[in-house]
Amino acid sequence: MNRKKFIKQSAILGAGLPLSAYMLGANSLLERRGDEKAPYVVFVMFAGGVRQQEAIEKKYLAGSQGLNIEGNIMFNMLEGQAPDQKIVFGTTPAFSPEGSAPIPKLLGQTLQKQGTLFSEMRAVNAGHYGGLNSLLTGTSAASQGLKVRPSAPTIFEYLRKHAGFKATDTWFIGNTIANSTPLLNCSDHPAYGLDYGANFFAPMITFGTDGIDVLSNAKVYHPQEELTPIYQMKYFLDQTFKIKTGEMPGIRNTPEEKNQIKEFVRNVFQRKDAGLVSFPPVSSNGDALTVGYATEVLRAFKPKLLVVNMSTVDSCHSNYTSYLQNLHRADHALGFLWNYIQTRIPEMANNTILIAAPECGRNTNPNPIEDQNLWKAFDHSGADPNAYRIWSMMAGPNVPQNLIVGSENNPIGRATDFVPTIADIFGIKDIVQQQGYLDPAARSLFDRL
Amino acid sequence: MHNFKYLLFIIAIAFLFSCTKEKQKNQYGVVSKNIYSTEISKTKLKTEAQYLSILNTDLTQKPISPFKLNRSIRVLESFGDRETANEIIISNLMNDPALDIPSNTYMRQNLDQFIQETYNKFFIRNPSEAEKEYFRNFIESNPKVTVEMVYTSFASSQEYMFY
Repeated sequence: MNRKKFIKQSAILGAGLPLSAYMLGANSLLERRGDEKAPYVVFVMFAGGVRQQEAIEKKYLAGSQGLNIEGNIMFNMLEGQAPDQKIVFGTTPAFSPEGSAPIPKLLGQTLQKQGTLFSEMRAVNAGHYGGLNSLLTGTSAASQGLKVRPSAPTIFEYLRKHAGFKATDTWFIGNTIANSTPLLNCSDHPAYGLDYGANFFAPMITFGTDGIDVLSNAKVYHPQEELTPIYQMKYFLDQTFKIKTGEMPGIRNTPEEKNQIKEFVRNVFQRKDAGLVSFPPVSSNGDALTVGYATEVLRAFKPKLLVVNMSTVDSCHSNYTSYLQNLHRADHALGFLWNYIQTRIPEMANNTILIAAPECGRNTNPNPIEDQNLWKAFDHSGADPNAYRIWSMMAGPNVPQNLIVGSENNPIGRATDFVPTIADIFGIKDIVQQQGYLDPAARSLFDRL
Repeated sequence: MHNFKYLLFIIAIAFLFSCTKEKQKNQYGVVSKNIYSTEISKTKLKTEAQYLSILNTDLTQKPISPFKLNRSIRVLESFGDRETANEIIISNLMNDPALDIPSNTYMRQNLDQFIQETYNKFFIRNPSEAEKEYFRNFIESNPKVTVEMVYTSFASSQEYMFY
């Protein structure tokens, strides 16, 4: 090699090494995001197990109790006349039969008219935790154990890692701390995990009687005069201890985000005391209250992705009347949530895509348990194809209006579609699919239109 | 013969009270000994119950009631960011009438002792010379730093979450 060639190659190598190091070290910077369909997504896991018969088919008692009474009890989501006999799903005015007053529709136009209804999709799991896992990870979650985090990355982690979202850009609002719900805000996947997890509240606990006792009297320290020295000392102590990443429980927020969360907690207690927290007009169950607190998170953080979990319809295991009431209230809570976004949060109004879907259906045939109306209850089991029948609703920018996709004889869409759909909305669908963890049959719902 | 009996009697008595080999006696007692070391050897994460009950005792010198402990555990589980939840719970305890911590005057007048006691209380170990030096300098150069702030940093630190 002559001197000239040596110098030339050295120069190329010298320039190339830092560039390649930059490329390897800052991988996410090079990941090209596609066009964003909307800056905000609210995903309502309309969970607990919803039978297709009482929802999409609007069969009311005709699809379950052998009574020839049909009708729609999801006024905000679906088009269709309400039943005109044996009304049990509403509220109970004084001196009136139980549930005889249906809750008035909140939305001027049903979500079905405002958006796209995938009327016949397939769940990949007939259980709650597996079903919720499939909604959030886009996998079949076939080997997913209880009381452990999802084994595949969640949509929160994909967004935080590949779209650069902050922790407070992604929220999971759970309706309980039971049934491993708090574990759904991130996976234990070694390439993702807690460093990319979503913030989580189970507001019925955080802001309920437990939280009042344990959190509501907390001081909020002055950011500069008090918090800064506290964090300086804590930083020194943590540097001395030097634990490995992943050994600490819980997700990470920056000091600024932590302060924002502390302010938020204090504000919610104050607003709750002052009666300023907005709840659905009928807030007689945990789902409605959870959705009410979710609006507080939306108002304060305006997260890019908020996922809220409901589940009271699962009372169907032992009380069919209660199931009808909770289904009616879940629709009411969803209508309230959509209305709140459109009317109370200007940044998110007309900028948010709402997605709602159950995690699984319920069985065709009832179990022997009868309720106060002598109506039989329904379980959900892996052996019954009816337990795999689900639906979903989408509304918002770039979502076709008044469109129904799929039918009983032509199911379109899977429970694993929601991760690529949300990734698609934020322009990282290809990146997420390239990671190789999704159900091979999963597609963005936009690609199924 | 009579005298001989006397003599035998006296000799027998003399044997009874004669010298015997003294048996060795072990004596035991308690000697004060400082067992704290400066080594950091904590590897196991405290459970929520362990963390909360120890925290309550360290800040109020009283055990937490089972009812309050149960509520506190539930609240921790309802939070995605455990560190932030801990910090809110700590600051809530700092507003508790049962709070029992040294005064700021005590800290300023007995700084070395305060640092030693704080490490012993929260970390069950002695501070290293570097740690003593850091806190001595930090507290002396920041007149607005209070015991509450020092305790908050220790109680929210990662080492305090391990044993």
